[in-house]
Amino acid sequence: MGVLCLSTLLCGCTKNKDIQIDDKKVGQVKLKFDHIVGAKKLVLNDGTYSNNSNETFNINILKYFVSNIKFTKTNGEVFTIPKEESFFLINASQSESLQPTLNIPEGEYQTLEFNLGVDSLTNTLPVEKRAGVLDVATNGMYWDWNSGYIHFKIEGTSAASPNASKSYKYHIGFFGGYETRTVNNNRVIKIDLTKAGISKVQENLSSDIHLMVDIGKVFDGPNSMSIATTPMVMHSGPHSDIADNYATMFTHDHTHNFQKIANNEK
Amino acid sequence: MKNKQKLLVLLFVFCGIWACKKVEDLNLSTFIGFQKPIHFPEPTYSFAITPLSKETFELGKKLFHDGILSRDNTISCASCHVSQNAFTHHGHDVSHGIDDQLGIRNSSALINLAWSNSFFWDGGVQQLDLAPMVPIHNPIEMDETMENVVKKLQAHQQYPALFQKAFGTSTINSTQVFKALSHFMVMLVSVNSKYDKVQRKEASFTTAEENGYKIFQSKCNSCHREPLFTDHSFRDNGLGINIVKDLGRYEITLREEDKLKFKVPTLRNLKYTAPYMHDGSIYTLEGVLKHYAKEVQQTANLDPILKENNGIPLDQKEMQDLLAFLNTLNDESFVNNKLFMQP
Repeated sequence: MGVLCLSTLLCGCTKNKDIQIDDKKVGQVKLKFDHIVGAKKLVLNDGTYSNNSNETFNINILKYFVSNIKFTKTNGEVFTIPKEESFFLINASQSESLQPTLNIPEGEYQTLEFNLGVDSLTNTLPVEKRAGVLDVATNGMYWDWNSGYIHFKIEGTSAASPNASKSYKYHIGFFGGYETRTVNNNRVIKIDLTKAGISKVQENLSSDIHLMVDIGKVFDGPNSMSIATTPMVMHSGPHSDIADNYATMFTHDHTHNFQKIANNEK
Repeated sequence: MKNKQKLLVLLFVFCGIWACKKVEDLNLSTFIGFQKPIHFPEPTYSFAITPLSKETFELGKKLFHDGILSRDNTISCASCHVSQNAFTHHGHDVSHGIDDQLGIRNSSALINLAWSNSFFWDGGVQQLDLAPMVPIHNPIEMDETMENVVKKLQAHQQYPALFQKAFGTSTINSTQVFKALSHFMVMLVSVNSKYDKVQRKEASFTTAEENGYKIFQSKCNSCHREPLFTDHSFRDNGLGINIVKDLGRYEITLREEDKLKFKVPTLRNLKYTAPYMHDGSIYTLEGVLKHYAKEVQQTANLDPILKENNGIPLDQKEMQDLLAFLNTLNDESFVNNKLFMQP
């Protein structure tokens, strides 16, 4: 019995150490977006948080686009998820949206890169090609009168807000314009996976990359946002400052490699 | 008996004539689809993914005239875009929406939209398919959501069958609503004015019209470019800032140099589209010419051509000739086209 245990253990170890890579085979990567505000877990509506401007607030809506996902192997090779499979709407109120799954070739990946927002090319697609999360009519993530997707949306309440409903709303759009150049608030997020565990992708198994997303950074990033002075940011106001802030929300926490894929996920 | 036979023969002859007439009428209104006029450039609107058909056009026409697109089912597209007024709201300076609320801009005439590369006075929308969502969502226009529009259409007695005919599926989605509305709007081609007939050598200008045409070509054509009579650009024409502080194109681009710039509108069918300008602040064409001749304000982004010449210098005779020419851009067959009217 002991021998059996030992050999299973050894076997397990070997498997972890040198995996057989066949890049013609495809495995799964799951990106897990765990939302926190500072050190606290995000609880929509009920959680109370504070920022460096000594304002307390809650969060009712948190939605943002993650798109154009790329992985870089330890040997430097880059794998880009096909564009049409590469758009996800992360919505804090829908748990199933927080774990996008992707199919990528077997291999060991050291960098994850994605775009926060919807790039300019996608913003000019014919309406027939805008299905699913890109449907302009159904997701509440599209500006109609100044055509373009809202990359990032946060809404909540705070006693510090000067308006009657005590609300704050940041809807950050602008993709760079059709013909006239405008501001572009897309932000490319590059995450080094080497410190907290590279992603090892194997056929029939899932490599789960856990990302911590600190929403507190929206207020206390490179730029400081006070709800009292800027309760509403949409077409005007410091939208690019907020974009620079949301670019810093993501840190890699850990990776669980070789996870079994539940039948309902296949 | 003989009399009866005579009567029958007469009746037959009469029926024959009547039938002929009927066929002729039918021919006149036969659907021929979208056709590019000879003296027009290639359209910017694409029919590649969703082809235009009689069914998509007819469905679009019905939707365009139906209040079902608004929150309380009272306001249709046609409320502010009336076919007899070249699809604007004649006599209204700014648009009238739901619960009698007023907008801040003059409702645009919908003419030759298949050649436009941006929509609305500020050009905030770049695809015709995405334009209807703006008034539908606007709380002071139709104040409805697309999700609810689709729900109402799906539950309607006639629409599911009409969508089935047009798109081959009775499950309605917002993209189909947008395509149908576009297919109606791109068909609003105005190309039978006297100007067009002169271009096709079917008519000739009077002396006053001819003089006016020359003045137009030297003083107006740089912005109101033939044959669409717009170059689709955004310009500050020296009206100055209005009471609602509308900054126009700047609201879209947030660039200083776009403050007070608005889309150059077409000059076709001006007879039916008064009042003029983005805020409907000038009631007559004479007033418009007087503005350019004498009242242009030296704003920061004033169009270079207007700045250079201190407006558009025009004497009384030139104004009369120019008005005569502008009159040749009115297309009676466009505003009276039964094909475009409420089904």
